[in-house]
Amino acid sequence: MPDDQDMRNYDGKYVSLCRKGDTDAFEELVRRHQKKMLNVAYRMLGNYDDACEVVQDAFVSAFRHIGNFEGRSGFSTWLCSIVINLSRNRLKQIHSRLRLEPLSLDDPISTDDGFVRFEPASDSPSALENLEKKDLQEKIQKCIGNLEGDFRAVLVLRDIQGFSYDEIGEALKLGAGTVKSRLFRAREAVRDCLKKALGKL
Amino acid sequence: MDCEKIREKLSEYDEGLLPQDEAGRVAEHLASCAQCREAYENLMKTVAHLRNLDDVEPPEWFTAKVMARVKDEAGRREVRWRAIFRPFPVKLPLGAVATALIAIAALYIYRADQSVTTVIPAEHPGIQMQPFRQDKRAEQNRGNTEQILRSPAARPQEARKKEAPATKPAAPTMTGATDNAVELPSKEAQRKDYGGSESAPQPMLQAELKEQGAGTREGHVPDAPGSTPAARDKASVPSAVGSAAPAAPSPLRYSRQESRESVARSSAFRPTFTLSVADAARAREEISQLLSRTGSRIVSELSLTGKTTLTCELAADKLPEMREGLGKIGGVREKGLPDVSGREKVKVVIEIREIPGRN
Repeated sequence: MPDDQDMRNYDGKYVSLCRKGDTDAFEELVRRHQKKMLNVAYRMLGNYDDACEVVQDAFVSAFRHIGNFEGRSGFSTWLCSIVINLSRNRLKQIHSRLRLEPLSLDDPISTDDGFVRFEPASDSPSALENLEKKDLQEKIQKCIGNLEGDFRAVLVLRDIQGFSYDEIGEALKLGAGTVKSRLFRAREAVRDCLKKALGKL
Repeated sequence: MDCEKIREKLSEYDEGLLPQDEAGRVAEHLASCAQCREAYENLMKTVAHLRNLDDVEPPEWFTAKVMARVKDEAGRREVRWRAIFRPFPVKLPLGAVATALIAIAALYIYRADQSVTTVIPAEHPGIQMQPFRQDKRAEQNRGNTEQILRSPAARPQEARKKEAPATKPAAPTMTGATDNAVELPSKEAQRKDYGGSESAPQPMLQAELKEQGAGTREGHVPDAPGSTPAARDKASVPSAVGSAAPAAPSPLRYSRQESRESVARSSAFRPTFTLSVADAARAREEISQLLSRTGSRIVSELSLTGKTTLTCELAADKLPEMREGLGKIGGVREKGLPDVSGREKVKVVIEIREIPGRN
């Protein structure tokens, strides 16, 4: 973040307008932060639709509780803590649902006509590249998904979203030492997982 | 430094977060240890993979959808002040709440009303019974009355003595009433009649009445609550006395019923002092002084011919002083004085009856 402080001041202006009930000011904050929050949620949940729902809920909750935002941390950090919390709750829901009807990502996808649809093979190198990239990204996401919630959050915030250690500590209510050690273990776990999935890094 | 400790620091080393001397030691170790170098490279690759993950884009409708929900929330917040009047998260049906409140209020008023009526002790039912009891007594007393008629001068005294120890307050009344009615000229009876229906039909009132009938037979006319034109006409003729008594009950009951209601309205069977005096005006003045001495307050005052009814409010512990003071002014009879003490406020009725020639 090159102009972190500027961004924070900029947010502050809109936040104080929001406190007076200015929904237009809040809309500006939504536009500004929605992509980042969606990506946090997406990496936490591994599901785009779930991520969209969670981030919507997070924005509504943020607007409702904007009076609780003290301005000590940045608005983005505060918002992020809401997204992380809601994502964790969603994960718990998904977990309990999966326990009832176990599904695997490797299960064949059934379609309306009853056939399993395969993606058509393409000869073009770019298509192949895309396919490889897509495959890699899916594997990485799967490895992230294997992490426990607390480790996942630290990794997502630090390595994917680039939050500082302080911001992560603020958002997750963790001490600096805990953030570092969790990040270390999360990276090691992902490394081992990727090594297994890709054969080499 | 062994490899394990180095590897724990690799994350921070990579991000330049280690102090310079520590970073130098890690760099030294990495240069010499191939395993740790591989671990470091793997870490960097892992982090690079994570950083290279493509961002997902929010759907186009995202902002609009969020803002629609936010505006809905803002609208709800505007009417949230209403929650002051409806502090329950569950929406209650207004009608049911209002009904419940009315029911509670009604119960409260009913109970408050009860607490007033309980101030009055046993006299209340006693009075209700009175007319019926009188009816019986009237029959019983007929013979008595005839006796009285035969020797008008001596009998009343005797009758009074006979009735005095009686515990039923109603008994003497009928004797007195019949007694008087027999002798009254119709005009006087009529006046008395009027007074009687106005006054409170309280036991001591009748007791006093009997006393008056005995003491001041000539000239003065005591209350004859039971008298009605019909009864009076018959009673005014001595020979009709026999039929006067049986005829009396039903109109008697009627007029008493009426006056009792009026009393219930005015003084609600309050504890009563009945004061018999020769000079009502002077007594009234003396009572005024007594009232101010005892810190009483006059609630209402009703003056009728020969009778003034004062309703006052005073502290219960002033009752003995009041009793004593009234005793100095004239003959006092009391009824239904509550057995209370302390600073509690009680309402009492003081009836001043002018009886010329008394003293």
